[in-house]
Amino acid sequence: MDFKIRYNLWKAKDQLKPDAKFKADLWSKLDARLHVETNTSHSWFETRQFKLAAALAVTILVVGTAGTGAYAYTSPDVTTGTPLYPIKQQLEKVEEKVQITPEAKANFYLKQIKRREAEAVVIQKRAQKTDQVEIQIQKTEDQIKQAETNLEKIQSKNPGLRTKIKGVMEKGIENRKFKLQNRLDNLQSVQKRLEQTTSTINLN
Amino acid sequence: MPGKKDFEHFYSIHIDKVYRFVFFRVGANKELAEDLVSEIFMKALEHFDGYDPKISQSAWIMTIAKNHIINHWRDKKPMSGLPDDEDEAGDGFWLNLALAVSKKDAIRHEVYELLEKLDGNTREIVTFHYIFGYSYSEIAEMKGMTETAVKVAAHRAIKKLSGHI
Repeated sequence: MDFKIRYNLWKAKDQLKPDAKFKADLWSKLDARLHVETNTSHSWFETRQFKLAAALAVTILVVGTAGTGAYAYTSPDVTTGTPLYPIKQQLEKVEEKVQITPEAKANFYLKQIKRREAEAVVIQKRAQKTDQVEIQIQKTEDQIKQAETNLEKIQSKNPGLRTKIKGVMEKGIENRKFKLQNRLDNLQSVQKRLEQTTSTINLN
Repeated sequence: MPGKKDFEHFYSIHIDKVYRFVFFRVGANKELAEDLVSEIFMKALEHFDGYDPKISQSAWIMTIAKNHIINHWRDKKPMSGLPDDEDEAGDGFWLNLALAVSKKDAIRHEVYELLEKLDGNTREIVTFHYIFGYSYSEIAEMKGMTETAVKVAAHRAIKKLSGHI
């Protein structure tokens, strides 16, 4: 008997269902409303995520700028010709203007000379590498000569194989020459900067 | 604005229950029930952002539905024997009215006649569970009873109705 009453209740419930069309139509209206409100009153730039992202970006910018300035100002690795050197110069100009009394100005110039000296040491260390690179170039040239001698020996035995090996070797040698030349150019520019810095120190 | 998926899920779960509830409250008037249900879900959509997850979704949408029906009758100034204030009439009045109207339908006649044999509170529990489709826990929350008490009442009601067949 329980089953019959439960079945009848279920049947009554089933008959009271809203029409599928009504449900679909109502959902369409709600969906349209959802779209309208998402695209107008809650634009993407008003969302919490955007605000957080903007705050994060500003924080990174501020910390990054301050950090870069502090590094440029204090590090002796920032020497003439490096990208951060203009920042260092500007900060020093500001610092110079802030010093009012003659004693403070004298202290500042002393500090500036110490900084230039520290930079000169760094530049000198870099310049020492020039000699090492020149030695490496010499070694490479010797290796090339040796390789050419070897090729001549192979030529008499197997001309086809020689052409193949020659192509591969020439390519490799060219690459190495190019890289070493670049490195030498860089070091020469560093040497020039060292000379400039030394003259600046002498002037001070 | 709520996520589309969240609201779609909410809609699919509650549309049938809310419709049946409203259908009973408007004297089994299908057109009126559809209009009111549309308005109720529009309201729910507007306030979905402020929905407090501490209360059940059923209780939340039911509160919106009840308030909306109250406002509807207040604005309409009922013409016939309908009460001025929905709260004063209580659930029993609306249930009886819907049962009386629905009796015209031969298929439902037997069920509604049987429901009339139950006391007001039990009839509500049986109607909410078996006809509107609410779970025992949802009914318990709405009526301020324990889930076990609701289950026991429903079970006893079915036993009683079985005895009348």
